[in-house]
Amino acid sequence: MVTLTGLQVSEYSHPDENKAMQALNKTKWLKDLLNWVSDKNNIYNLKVSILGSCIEVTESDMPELYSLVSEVCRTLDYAPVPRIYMYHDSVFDIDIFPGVKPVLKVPDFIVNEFDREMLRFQFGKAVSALKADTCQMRMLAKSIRLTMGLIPGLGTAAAVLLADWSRKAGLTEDRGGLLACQDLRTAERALMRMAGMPLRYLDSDRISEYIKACQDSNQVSSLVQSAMTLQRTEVWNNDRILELYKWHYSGQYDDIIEEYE
Amino acid sequence: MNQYNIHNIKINPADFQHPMDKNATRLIQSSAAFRKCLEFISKQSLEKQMQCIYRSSLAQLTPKTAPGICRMAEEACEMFGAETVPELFLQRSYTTAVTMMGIEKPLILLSTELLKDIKEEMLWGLIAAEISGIRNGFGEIRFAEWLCDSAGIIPAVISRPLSKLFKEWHKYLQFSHDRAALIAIGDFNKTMCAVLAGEIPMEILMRMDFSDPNCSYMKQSREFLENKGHWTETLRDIKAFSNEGVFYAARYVNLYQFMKNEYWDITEDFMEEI
Repeated sequence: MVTLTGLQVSEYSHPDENKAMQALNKTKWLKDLLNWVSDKNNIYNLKVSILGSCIEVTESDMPELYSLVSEVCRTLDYAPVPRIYMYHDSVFDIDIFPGVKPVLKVPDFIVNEFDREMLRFQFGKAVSALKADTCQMRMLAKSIRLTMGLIPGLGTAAAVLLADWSRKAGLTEDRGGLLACQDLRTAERALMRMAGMPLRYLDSDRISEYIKACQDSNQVSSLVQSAMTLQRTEVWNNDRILELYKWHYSGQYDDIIEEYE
Repeated sequence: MNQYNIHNIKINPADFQHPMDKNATRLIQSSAAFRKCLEFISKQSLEKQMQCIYRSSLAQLTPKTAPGICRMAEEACEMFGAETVPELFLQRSYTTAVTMMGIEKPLILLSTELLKDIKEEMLWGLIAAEISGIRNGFGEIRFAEWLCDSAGIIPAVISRPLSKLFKEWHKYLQFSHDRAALIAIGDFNKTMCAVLAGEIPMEILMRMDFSDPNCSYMKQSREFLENKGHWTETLRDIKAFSNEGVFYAARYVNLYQFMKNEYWDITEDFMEEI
């Protein structure tokens, strides 16, 4: 495993993310609103929801998980190691709260469903979001875009802008996840599991077949699909796998690894 | 199964029922809407219909298919003085829960997710806790609530005023259940593992020591309860209002205080009888 000491998010961020961020930065009122909601959201999550309903898992409770998160932080050159709070839910997403003592809210589902290397990819994504300082905005994009979308005109436009940026930021996180696990097959397995494929079917043949099917389906774009994508905060799962696959084979991934080797 | 060997001794669950739960239960039972709801249930034979639905759609656990679990239910009935042993059903769900409801013939629903890796004595505690609610009238309240939630069965004029009372009751019901589980299991740490079973993986729970007042979860729970600040309190109230149950942190501190202050007085009586 190559330790990427000195790694900057700008080295691997998706080029479309920067463009989307520039568009978002033009709407000052939206940034102010997001900051205000973000502040209250942080109080709610850190002081009420997480403390009241989740359980902090310390290093002595689960040394394997802690050593994994520490390794991911070291690989991506991020400090401090976040605190981990667990809860029961059948989702794959880790919620991330930045700050002096960053917090990861981890569903028990991924701990049960992912093997150690897949978890490395998933925690890599979370640490990458912490490193890029985009987690609060991403979480808000998920929670308030629907409300904003109900306000015709300005509200809808802002919701679309926010969702667009969030999708691109998600692609950057996937790249961070790949840099953390440093194995494309692992990243593909994790993304395929998130797409619904049971763990026992995730062998090499099936993954290759799946990617081929993704490539075929990607060539057909429709107006309906574009319209459906507009307010989504995540890129469609198949497109995520393809984007990561393309980035890996573009040589940019190898360049980063070789630079730090 | 129980370290104090208090089987065959009848304990009245009202003796350790949480006072807030007691008040909320009384409030529901004395309301005109609830009485009307019960009349409606009996007139329409709704309990029999509910049993038919569960028998035809869920897997029933019998002494042949699950002798251990059925024995737990029988022993819990003896312990908490419930006359009828509830029928047990398996419910496929990712929610980890044991739920008892019914009036004349209560039934218990066990979620498949909970049974995945829970230890036997923890399951015993959770089943016993549900059965302890039979004598306190929880079965009929739960049944009425279930019917009120099923759109259109109970007329709105009855179900609407009841729904707020049910919500309030849910906030305190868990405190009494946790106490019953502690009395049945007889070990604080294992009881907390049972309460949190399903919430986080069992292998992590087994490494924790909840009976240690300096454990990380006690610090977290105290921090949660003592957090002040205008926004924190407002947001906590909003969350508490919208919550179905009660915060785990509050349940933990409440049970710990019960163990320290009241548990030994209650269990001492059993020991003397033995």
